[in-house]
Amino acid sequence: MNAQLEQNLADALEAQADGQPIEQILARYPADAVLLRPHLETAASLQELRIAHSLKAQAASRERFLAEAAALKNAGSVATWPAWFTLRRLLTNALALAVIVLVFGAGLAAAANQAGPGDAMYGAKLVIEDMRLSLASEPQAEALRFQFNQERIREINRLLADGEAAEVRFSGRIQSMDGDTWLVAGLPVQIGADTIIDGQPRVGAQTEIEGHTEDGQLFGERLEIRGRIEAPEIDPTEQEATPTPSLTPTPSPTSTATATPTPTETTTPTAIVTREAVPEAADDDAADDETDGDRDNDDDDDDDGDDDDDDDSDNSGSGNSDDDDDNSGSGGGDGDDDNDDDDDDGGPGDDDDPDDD
Amino acid sequence: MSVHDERSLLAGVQRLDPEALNQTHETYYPVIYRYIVMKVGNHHAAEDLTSEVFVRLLSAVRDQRAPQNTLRGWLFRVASIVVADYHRQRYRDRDVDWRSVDERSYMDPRQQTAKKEQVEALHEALTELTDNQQEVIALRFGAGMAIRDVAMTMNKSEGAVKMLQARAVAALSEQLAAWRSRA
Repeated sequence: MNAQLEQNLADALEAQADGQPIEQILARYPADAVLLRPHLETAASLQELRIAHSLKAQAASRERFLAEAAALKNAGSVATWPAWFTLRRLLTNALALAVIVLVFGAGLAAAANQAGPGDAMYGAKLVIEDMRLSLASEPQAEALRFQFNQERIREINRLLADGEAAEVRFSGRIQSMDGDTWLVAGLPVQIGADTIIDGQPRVGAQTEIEGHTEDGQLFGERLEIRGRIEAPEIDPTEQEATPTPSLTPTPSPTSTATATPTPTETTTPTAIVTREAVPEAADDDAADDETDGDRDNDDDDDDDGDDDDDDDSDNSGSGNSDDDDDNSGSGGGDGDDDNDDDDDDGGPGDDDDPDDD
Repeated sequence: MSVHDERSLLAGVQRLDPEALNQTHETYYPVIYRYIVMKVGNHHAAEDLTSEVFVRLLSAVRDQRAPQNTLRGWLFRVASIVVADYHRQRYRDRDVDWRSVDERSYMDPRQQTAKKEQVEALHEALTELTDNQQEVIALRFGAGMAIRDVAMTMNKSEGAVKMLQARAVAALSEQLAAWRSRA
């Protein structure tokens, strides 16, 4: 398909989406009408294909979604952090800091905070974290565990960058399982024959990992896979009894019986649940790392809309397809789509990709 | 939905406000579903995957990494990730009959056979397209997005999306023609 024909087809498809009849559109391109017709007819068939969703399935999904949201809210682990909570958190942190300074001295506490695995002060850093955990109450402890796990991931990234060797421990979700390299919380974990894996590993599963870094690589020694919670069972009471599978890299003595429910970690009952290995790693990255908003499998990012591999087909066609319906989706259209995912901040290790849960 | 409405909805989602969550689900479920079903060609899987997208939204809220600016863009991106995961799994389980198309809710029984063939042909043809081409088709014709919204979701210019769509439709035409000749 030559450039002019391609441009004409692009314009014709837009006209079709605006509801113009195929014949009327083709009349504007007499020289290309024969070639454009089949393409417009294809577009029309896509429109006709518009598949209605099952209302029953939608209702079931809504029920699951709202039930899990309610369980999450009841657990109080997030969301409802109004001013009083912030104040309380500040007070607790101040108390924790006071105790830490009292016990360790300000200089020691500050030095420990900068320490990384392998440093002499690293043990003190973990102890301080444990103290902060023990002084916190839920949901603060939950937030702290998350924060400390992020710190573990940052430490590991530094170790990998520096090529240093150290024992490490962290938790996160499995984002991909490509051969011997699994991506967990943004970190590539080498899985060997001697790696002990407890549980059924699969993409999306929350995992506690013990291992070590060496020569810029992270080796998994033991992975403890935590199961997801099936959606239908989200009885809030039951959930409260479910031990939280996450975010606690530090062997905190505060076994805080936190039993924080993780209602959101449901899994779909489809095949996607049972995945064990992933064929394409590169793609995986993209999928997981949605932070960049850009999928790796883009065949071509250029702005010309060019898709390198595409064929120049030429035919003709017509069809009609107006852009239908709807509603809902297009809705937002706000213009700033930037998306959002700002959330992930950046930490190389952040396992927060939306996909990974 | 205006930008203001979406932001307001987003704020409600971050508070886990039931009304905002309900509205989010009901607003976006149909389009996310249609986007997904066009990419996976299987209704049962599409229903599960669509539901999964919303569950992941809750996970994001829980972990304080919920979308800050736009819900729609975030949901579609997560949907594309969920679909990619699904395809990986399907690739692994090649012997599973994932192609079965469940036409229960949208087919006139009298047209069932012809329609089913059409659906299968289209889906098969779609799988021959490049990832970007599939994406633009699913967003345009599945989710019914305007070019502008597709451009934002795919992080491309509107001009690029128009040309990409043209090439995708042309490629699909060729695939369908080949399928018909085989049939």
